[in-house]
Amino acid sequence: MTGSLLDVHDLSVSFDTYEGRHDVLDGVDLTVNEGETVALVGETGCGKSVTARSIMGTLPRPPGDITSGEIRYDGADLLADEAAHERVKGDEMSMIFQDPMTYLSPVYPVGSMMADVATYSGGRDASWWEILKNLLGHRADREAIRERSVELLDRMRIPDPEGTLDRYPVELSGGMRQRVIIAMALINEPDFLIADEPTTALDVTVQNQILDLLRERVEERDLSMLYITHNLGVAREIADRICIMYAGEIVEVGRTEDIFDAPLHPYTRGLLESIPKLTGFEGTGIDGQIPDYTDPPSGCRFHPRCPAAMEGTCDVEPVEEYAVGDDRTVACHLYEDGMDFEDAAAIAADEATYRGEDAQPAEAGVGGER
Amino acid sequence: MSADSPEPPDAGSSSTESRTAIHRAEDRAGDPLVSVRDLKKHYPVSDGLLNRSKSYVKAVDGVSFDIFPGETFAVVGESGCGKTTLGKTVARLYGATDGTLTFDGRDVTELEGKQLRRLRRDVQVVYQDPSSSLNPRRRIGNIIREPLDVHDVGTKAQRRDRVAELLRMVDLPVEFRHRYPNALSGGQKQRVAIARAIAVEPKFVVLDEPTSALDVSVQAKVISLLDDLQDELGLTYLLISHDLSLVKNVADRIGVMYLGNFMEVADSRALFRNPLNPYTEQLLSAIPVIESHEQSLKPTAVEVQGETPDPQNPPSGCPFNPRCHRRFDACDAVEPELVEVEPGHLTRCLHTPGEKREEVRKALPDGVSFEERDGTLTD
Repeated sequence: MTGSLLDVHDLSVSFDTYEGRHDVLDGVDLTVNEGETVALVGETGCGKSVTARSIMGTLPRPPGDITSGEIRYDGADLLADEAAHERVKGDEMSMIFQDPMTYLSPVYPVGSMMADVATYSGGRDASWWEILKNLLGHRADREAIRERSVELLDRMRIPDPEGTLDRYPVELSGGMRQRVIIAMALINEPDFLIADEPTTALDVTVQNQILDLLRERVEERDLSMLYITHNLGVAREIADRICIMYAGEIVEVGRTEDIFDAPLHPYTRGLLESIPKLTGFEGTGIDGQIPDYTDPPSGCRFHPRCPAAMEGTCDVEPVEEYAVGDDRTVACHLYEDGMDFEDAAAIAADEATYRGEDAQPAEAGVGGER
Repeated sequence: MSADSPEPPDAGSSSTESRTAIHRAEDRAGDPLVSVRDLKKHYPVSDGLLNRSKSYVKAVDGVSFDIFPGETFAVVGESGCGKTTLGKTVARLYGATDGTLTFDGRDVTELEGKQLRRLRRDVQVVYQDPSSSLNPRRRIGNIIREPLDVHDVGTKAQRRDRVAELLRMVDLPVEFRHRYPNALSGGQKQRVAIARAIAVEPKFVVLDEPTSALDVSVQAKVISLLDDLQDELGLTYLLISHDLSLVKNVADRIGVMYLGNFMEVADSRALFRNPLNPYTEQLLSAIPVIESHEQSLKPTAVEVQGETPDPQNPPSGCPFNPRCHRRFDACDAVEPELVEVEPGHLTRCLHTPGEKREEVRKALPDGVSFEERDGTLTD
């Protein structure tokens, strides 16, 4: 595919623990095109963060072990070429984390941390001579970095950016800390951002502000972003495309509006139905729980929880990604490769439904409201 | 508990008709089960040498409301607004600093010892995080049996049968009684916590963010379980949550809390259809929704400003004024009262519409103008 910046192909990751070998990621395919925001959506323990860490090269190995697959960034194979990985993650990628208090040091003021990121970024290690040189510092350099930091904080709409540089993280509110984290991620002008649940710890009103800022920055600088979240509402606000992940497998990929208009994979459908909406709430949920990775289900990993599971097929044959319509793939035996989108939508509506006999029809809540 | 389903569980009566406004007025004509008047809970914060100067965090500051039998009353608000403290104070886990708390017609604010223990049979709590509210060293069966032991309910054999019955009620296999909490998933653990809460047949259950720690596919199941139990057992709920979409679907009435006080109290439908308080507007417009026609149910986009202020140092006047998009000059001078604008719909704002507006504003000191400031943050 042309224009793809990040290409993850058939990535499998396992973890060795005392309980045995956990086969967490199972052949993950993921593409982020230039200037595109892709949301990776899934529930707790589905492997979202493991995917992000593999891309960022921060997967702890051991216990983690990349058993197969490749990660290509701008053509360079990152897993095969460690030097390229170091260079790419230093110069071109940045990551925004969920909980700023864990990633900001409590003992340094914000300004000093930002200066460190700006000075040492891209380097694997620094010699004593370099550190000494930086400590004594060229005044001009330091001023320049400080100016840049102020400008970035100002862009993140932090009131009193000068003063904030001299404050410690504990003196800032949750939303302000998250803004600082984003500013730090942007200080070296990356091309590619990985945001791992950056708004999950925040209140809705603050979450909205952060999402707006992030979107603004991404558009302004034409960044590409992989946005990881468990919240489909947030994914809908920020992403161009959405990948739905379940138990270490990408089950469905499509343009944001397509996924919400006509979800195909039974898991996506269940997830969407489980969310309480302003128009009503069916409360059906999905039976069961995420499988044990030491002994994942054979065939499709979702089949034990799937309402449309076909005996003899879903529990035996491994699923492949089928292209349905344009720009849409779904990993489910209900569909066939190259199928028309309309046909697929009809199958989804017929087969992949969660409503039991005792459940109320979906439209009822809406009717009562309007 | 579900206000929007066509056949809401009308636990107070046997009727299965849709709850109309009239219906609710009738409900409310009865005596409230829980009645809170001017409730305050202040935490002392000592600072300075030898703890001389003491200031207070007013976590709950003069809250009044009633909860009627069979109803779900929800408290929503952002983190740090005092909703959990309110829940724990209403459950009598904390003693109130001031105000009165009436349960079933009896003043329970000052109860102690045996009488307080007797009250605990009627009032139970389900906490947010089941991993920390269940003792990891006890078996599920013992955890659920503990309240029965404490309150000395039935014989040993009866208690054992009751545990099995409770496990069935929360849709867990009876064999789970022999397991430890760490062998259960988050959703299953929360079911155990619910079973423990209903073990002694309480009338009133405080649900403190019961599903916040769970994934959505599991949350849906737990919510419908709570709904069924309310039907079956005629429970009354105080639901504490930050998730407005959830609250909209399960609560009969909602109180929107900000810095220790209610900003708006209304019927669930009225609150979403016609939010009167600017804070409610901001909260509603910030909900990330997943369906395009949900968008039309939100107030038009309001730019949300700033964050919750330090509760130790609340702003003067209306607590929300520094973030408000409808701020007057007068807003930082006077603290508005919570007034009833429509039957059952209360709001705390100088912008109160209709005939009550003058009443709200007459308390203003001289020389305070009503020039509307523009919507941007001035400082």
